[in-house]
Amino acid sequence: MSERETAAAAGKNGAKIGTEPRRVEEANAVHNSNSGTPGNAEARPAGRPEIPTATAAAQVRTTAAADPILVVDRLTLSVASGQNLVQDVSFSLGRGDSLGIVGESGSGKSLTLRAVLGLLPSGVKRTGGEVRHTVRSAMVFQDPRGALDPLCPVVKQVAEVVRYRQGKNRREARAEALKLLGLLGLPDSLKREDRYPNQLSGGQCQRIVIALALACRPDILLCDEPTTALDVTVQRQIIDLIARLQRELGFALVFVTHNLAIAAEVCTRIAVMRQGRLVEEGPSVDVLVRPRDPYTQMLVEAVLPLPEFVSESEDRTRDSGEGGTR
Amino acid sequence: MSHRSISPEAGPLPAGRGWSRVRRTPALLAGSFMMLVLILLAVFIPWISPYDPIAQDLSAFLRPPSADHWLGTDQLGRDLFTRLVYAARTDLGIMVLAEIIPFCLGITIGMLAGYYGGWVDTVVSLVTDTFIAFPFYLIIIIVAFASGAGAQGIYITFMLVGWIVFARVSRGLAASLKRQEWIASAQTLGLPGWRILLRHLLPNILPQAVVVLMTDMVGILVAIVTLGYLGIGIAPPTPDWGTMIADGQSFMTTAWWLSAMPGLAVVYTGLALSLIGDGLADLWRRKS
Repeated sequence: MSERETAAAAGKNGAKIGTEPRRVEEANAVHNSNSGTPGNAEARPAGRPEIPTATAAAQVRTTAAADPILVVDRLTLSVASGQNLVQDVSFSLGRGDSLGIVGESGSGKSLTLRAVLGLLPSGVKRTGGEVRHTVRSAMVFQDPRGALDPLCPVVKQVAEVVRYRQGKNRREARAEALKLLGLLGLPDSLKREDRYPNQLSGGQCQRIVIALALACRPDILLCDEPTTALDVTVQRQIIDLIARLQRELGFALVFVTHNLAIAAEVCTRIAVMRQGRLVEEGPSVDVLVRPRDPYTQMLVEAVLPLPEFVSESEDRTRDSGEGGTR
Repeated sequence: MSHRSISPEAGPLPAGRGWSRVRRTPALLAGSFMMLVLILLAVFIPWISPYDPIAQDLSAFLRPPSADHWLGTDQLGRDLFTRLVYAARTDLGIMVLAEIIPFCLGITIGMLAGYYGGWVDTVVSLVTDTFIAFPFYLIIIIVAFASGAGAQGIYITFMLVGWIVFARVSRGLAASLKRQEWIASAQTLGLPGWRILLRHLLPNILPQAVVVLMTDMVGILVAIVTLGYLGIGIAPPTPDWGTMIADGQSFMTTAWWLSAMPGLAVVYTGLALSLIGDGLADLWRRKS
């Protein structure tokens, strides 16, 4: 996995340069703002001048993965009235990478994710930049019950995706679907009788939604606040599940959440968005321990008091490192 | 009853399925029972009644209800009960036949328009709105006169305009369901479009459409009876509730049952269909 490096722009953040993380591994880290993304010969707009914008949320230059499977390049999304909902957002993702996108409601994080899938709501258009990816992607939705056909038994829904995405016949598809459900820790009772989404709990539904996504054998799993609609205890289970699956199956992960702690736990990198712009991007621990942008600092302070956080973060990293279902 | 899952996040108790849920829907039960009685009567009437619905017996005209003639006889000496039930055969048969094709057609058109939107939707909406604004009875009377008396006028009219109500309903449902997350989810999961339409969208539209179908059938029945009453529907001597009501009118003072009974038969059928419709709507509401 490629390491990444962040570079702060000038302006307010300049003062913090001394403390900012600079884990530079130039060998495989490439600025994507001017030099282009490796492995991509497509025409790009001419490089922007390196003049930092005057806003406090200055341009954040993110680094490209060495061999990116997903490149979001200066993506701008607007509504018809011309207002930009997402502006100049860039990031890239290598095979097996995990990126958490954090931000408040309306910061454009979900929209960015949806743009990757081409699932923009009507009225929102991409007006600049581009999204490039060559691999299969699948999405885990925020409201698990809403993401399932209410009148179709859940096993059937999973089997259907297996059947069409993996080219299997009915019986193989059902067997494969049941295997997937087993992998996701769903009870055996699902195998014996048809269950509909409204007969399952939120957590079980979210597992089904994850199973649907995995049935596509994705190289990138896009998670749109997958735990927001769930109880706290179930949140924990789903987060552990996604982290475990990522380790076992090796897909790349983009995890959108408003919870900085969750993002840090699941992802190796974090991008912070605010008002449609990327304000900070870097390795999770660095972003949390030494946030450069004032907004990120505010987020960190709001979520976790720093002193307690340090020890807690170490605990959590260790836990997940051990593969920990608690 | 199915057992609960043992997962720590155990779901709600599964709702009753199938029959047990139907049993808790009295409207559906009552409506189905009424309809069943009518259908059984219509099917078995040749064995139930010794009388012929058409053959006249002028020696026994305008008899009041008795043990021999349960509902009396009409002005031509025909047993009224027998004719009522044979008329149910005619009228219900036409009602169902006239509704099948418009039902399928309307759902298909509406679903495609609602799901795909764009110009198809614009055209469909335009056509449906235009037809809705056009008085239905005017169309049916024009067609009935143009095509001659009999059932074909009803079939043609319903082929022309019957699909519209279903198209409207399923278009609206499809358009609103389209915005739900699970349709977007199915699309991103790479399911083919026809599969999403047939296996996911259609089952979610059908319940509502069936409820509308029940209400609409009442409308058709009334239309058939009205045409018969006006003398441009089913041609005599084929028994039909509409012509029976019209024929009985001249004897209202002496034999009121001649008009009242066919009228009650229409009310009975309409009530049964409405109850079924309400019951089904109830059932689906509780399910979701």
